[in-house]
Amino acid sequence: MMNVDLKARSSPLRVLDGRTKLIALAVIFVLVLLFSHPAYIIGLLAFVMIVWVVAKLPFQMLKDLMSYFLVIAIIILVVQIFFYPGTTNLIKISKPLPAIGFSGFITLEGIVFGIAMVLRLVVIMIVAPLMVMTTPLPELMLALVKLKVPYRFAFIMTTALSLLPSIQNRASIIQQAQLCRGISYDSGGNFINKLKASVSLMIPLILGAFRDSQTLEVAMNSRAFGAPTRRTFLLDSHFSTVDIIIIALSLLALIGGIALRIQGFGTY
Amino acid sequence: MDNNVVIQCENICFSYPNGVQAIQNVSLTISQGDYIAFVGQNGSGKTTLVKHFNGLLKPTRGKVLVFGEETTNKKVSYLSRKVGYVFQNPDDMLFCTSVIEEIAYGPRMLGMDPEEVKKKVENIIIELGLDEYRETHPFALSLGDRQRLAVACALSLDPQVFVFDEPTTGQDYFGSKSIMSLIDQLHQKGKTIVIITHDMPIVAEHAKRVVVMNKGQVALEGTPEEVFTQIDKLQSLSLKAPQVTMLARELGTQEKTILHIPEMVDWLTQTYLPAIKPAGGEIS
Repeated sequence: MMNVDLKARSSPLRVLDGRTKLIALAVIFVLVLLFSHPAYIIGLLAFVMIVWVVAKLPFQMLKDLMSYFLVIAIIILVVQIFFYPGTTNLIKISKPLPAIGFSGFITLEGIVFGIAMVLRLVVIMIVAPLMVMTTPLPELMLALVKLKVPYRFAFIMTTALSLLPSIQNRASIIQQAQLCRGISYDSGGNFINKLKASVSLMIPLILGAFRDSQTLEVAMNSRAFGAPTRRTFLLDSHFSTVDIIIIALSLLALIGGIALRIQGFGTY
Repeated sequence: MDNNVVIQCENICFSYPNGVQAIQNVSLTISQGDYIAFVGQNGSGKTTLVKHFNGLLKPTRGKVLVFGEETTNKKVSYLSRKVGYVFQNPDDMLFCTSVIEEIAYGPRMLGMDPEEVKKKVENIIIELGLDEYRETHPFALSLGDRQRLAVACALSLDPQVFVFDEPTTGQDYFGSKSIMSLIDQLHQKGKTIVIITHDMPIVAEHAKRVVVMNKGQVALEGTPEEVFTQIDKLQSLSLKAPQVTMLARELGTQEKTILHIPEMVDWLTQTYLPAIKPAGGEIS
């Protein structure tokens, strides 16, 4: 299991305003969904990788993310190759199978679309750590609130994020406890046994999370959560010149991207 | 090797993946029938060390032998038949829908014969006083009973050695009495017991041997008498001998370490009673 790590490292990205990062993040999301030509998405991916280097995030994490993603990527690729309604037939691999909508051919369009899909997901996956691993959670919450996200929603989001490491920690303790009861999670034993073994992990984990959330509710209520007054914040944030430049560039990229797309570029 | 040795640690070191060196060069031998208490501040490496006894953790250097077998290539599910481990929080272990199911789960996973499992579960239920709860949902039990059930789950795999991580934490006086007397029973049946605790009176009353951990190393080791005599050394490790031991020491029992209240009463009566007894008279 990969460890979630929310420690904000010092880097050029760390000093940016949370709002700037959120806006840039949103723009990248829109752009990556806007284009369907692999070359454009590779361009975005290259940009995001450069930001990864600037943010000084560990490359090991990139490797881990990719290794988890590999299986999903292969499934997506196969599904797209088989089911995308392409016109340029490349290889005939079977008779047409109308029942599942497969023409019998692997098409060029299918392969291209499959690759584009996988690349999109890669970009989306590695953009998220750029936000959460360079911004302390209170700053992230403040940025959300300043962008007019309702406080309750911002609270739910940041709390969910902040609980991830502790849930992971708990999962590993439960797993150890179950190993001590003679349950093994790795190979050996058939599929049913593996399924049973995962039940032994999930039930204590979920019940524990329920219990924790009840405790959290009491703690929040006793600390005046939802009091009917306007809330003040301990932290405050201001845009610096760099922030303004980055936001301007982001918006420019967004407008440029939309313009390109309207002109008919960026699709295969 | 001595036939009585159940667990042997030879110069083991352990570092967590984040680089924290939790165990530094610890060598330790546990013999059959031992009753060992591991004490020390939080973060001193107690739990990390005992997790080596059933292969939950493997040493980064040195080796751990459990009944003569090196743990490095052994699975925990295999070692759990030799060394049972009861976690501090029973809720981390329980997930079945009834007490009987819960106890039967481990043996079934290990492929034991169904008839045999049935017999075993019956025996354990009677032995641990869980008979009236056989169909109860584990989460409906009190903390004390859930802990008993966690012990039952470990017992169902028939290990020779039992490890208890802070068995009395969060329990009231009667709860901790009851779990400790259960542990004593296991010891009387010849099982080897390892406990981790912060409760010194419990150590003094139950353990036969104490290991004091500090910064990943064994700082002190010996019988409770030997360890609790060294009050100053203990203090430097942020630990305190039981109050009765300290009181006795203040009162001048240099030659003998008093560990329990009955011992103290005996000593007081022997030492002071003759002095206050009027000559020839009787105390009523």
